[in-house]
Amino acid sequence: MEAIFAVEQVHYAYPGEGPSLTDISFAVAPGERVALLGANGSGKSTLLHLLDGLYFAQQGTVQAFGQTLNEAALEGTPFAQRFRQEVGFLFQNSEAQLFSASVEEEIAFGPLQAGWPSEEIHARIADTLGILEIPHLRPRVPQRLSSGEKKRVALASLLVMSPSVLLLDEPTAGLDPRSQSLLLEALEELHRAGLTLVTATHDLTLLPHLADRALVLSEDHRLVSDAPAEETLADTALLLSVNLIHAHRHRHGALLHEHPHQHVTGHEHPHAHESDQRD
Amino acid sequence: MRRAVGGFARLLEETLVNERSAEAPGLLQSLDARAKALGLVGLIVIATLLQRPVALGLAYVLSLLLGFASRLPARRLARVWLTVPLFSAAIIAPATLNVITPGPALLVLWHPAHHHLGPWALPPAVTITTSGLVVAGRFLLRVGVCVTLALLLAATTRPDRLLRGLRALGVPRVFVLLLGMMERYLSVFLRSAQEIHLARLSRTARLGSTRREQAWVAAGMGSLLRRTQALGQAVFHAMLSRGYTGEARLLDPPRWGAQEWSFLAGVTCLAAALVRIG
Repeated sequence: MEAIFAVEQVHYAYPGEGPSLTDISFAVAPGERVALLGANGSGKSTLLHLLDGLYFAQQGTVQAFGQTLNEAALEGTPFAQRFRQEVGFLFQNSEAQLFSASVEEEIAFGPLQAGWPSEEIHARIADTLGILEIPHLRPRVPQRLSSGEKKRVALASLLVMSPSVLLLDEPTAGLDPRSQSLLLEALEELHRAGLTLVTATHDLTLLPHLADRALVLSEDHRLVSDAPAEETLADTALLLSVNLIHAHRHRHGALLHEHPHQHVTGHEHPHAHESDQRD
Repeated sequence: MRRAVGGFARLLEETLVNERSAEAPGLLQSLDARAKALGLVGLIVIATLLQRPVALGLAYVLSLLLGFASRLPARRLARVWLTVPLFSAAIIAPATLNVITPGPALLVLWHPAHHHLGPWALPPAVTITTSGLVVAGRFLLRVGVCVTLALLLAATTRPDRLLRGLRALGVPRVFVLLLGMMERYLSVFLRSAQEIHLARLSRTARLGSTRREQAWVAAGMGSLLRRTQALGQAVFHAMLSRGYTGEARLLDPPRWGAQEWSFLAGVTCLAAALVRIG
């Protein structure tokens, strides 16, 4: 089966800065759920921008649906239209993604660019809002919505195009628990419907909900692991080395002990107290 | 600083007020953006050609009538006269002096000690002249009419429709693209500015010296530029990602019918009458 994305030895650096991605290679098959794991600044978002054809590899190649992504391929070509319809990108910052005067127009933006007829766009907007259970938001001004509502509207603006791939950049960042749970349920539902999901996150608690496979980026911007999500979660040494968890030393009464720890999960003790010692 | 925060909030509110008034029922709101842009921009051009105050006065009355027919609040239309003198007066003030506009003296300002200012010869007394005041008054009235007409266009047309209208009238794509980006970034820019000021306010027990405040304002402007640029780029990427190619497209297609032709015919007749008057 043809890979949706094939990334070969990609390097990328922002102007005037050191490398953001170094020698990255991997492929994503249709229907997969892949997580890009890494600490802040490891290059996850940059990689998503490359997969969405917003940045272009400076060395190596990024292919989507068998076509190399470069300016020529994405400038007014039939492939560009297909690519923009098939691939949706949920940005971390919903403020950046919502720029229209109303939710309805926001969701209509993609179909209008694709040149769909007006009646079809209206029908698709109604369907998409219904699926995400937000039809009441249709006339609202996007900038005045809550964070959770903004995220769902942003997702609606992608789903209206019936994409086959979603690129998600820290999708639950800044959401309250209920909004987070609603979004995760929606994403699981979409995956069951056959969508390919590529999610950038540093939140390990989300991994089981978002991915079956994890690609881990190190702080020196290299791909250091490509393994099933469960295996990655169990690899404490790997997670410590890429700064996704850290060794935490603390006290329980008179007992001082140290164990790998991630702040986002609260106070968990997943491992035996390997270095217990009396004070 | 509190005033600055309030100012940003008011500007943000104003952009929303514009969107609301563009959606409200009214004469200009019911017109296609192309007809409206053609008619009102045409009137602005005519206003710049008028010389006689009575003609300019009639053009102003016409713009007010259009505003009332579009249900714009009188206070909003009148507010033009708070901003027009502020920005125009500095430009036109020298024209009131006999150095620029000779004429009968109305008020003597000063007697220069030297009769030359660099290469320019100065009269024995620098005065405000009646003909200078007429020139200034005509200028202010003309600016007031033009700004009111521009306000009518902006306040009764949603930005996307206006851009689409301008594009249909042959305005180059790159110009419309830049206007569209500016319009989208305006609220982003104002919100960033407000956040920077609020962050400073929350850490300020008392204001420092003027020099320190000036340094802070300069640093704040730099920071604002960086933040706006970053967010602006993110917005542009989000648009590109959804297939944006630089063309403004509308959910409900524009229509051009009898109402638009009637409006343009009416505007043309009135413009001809104004030109005839002067």
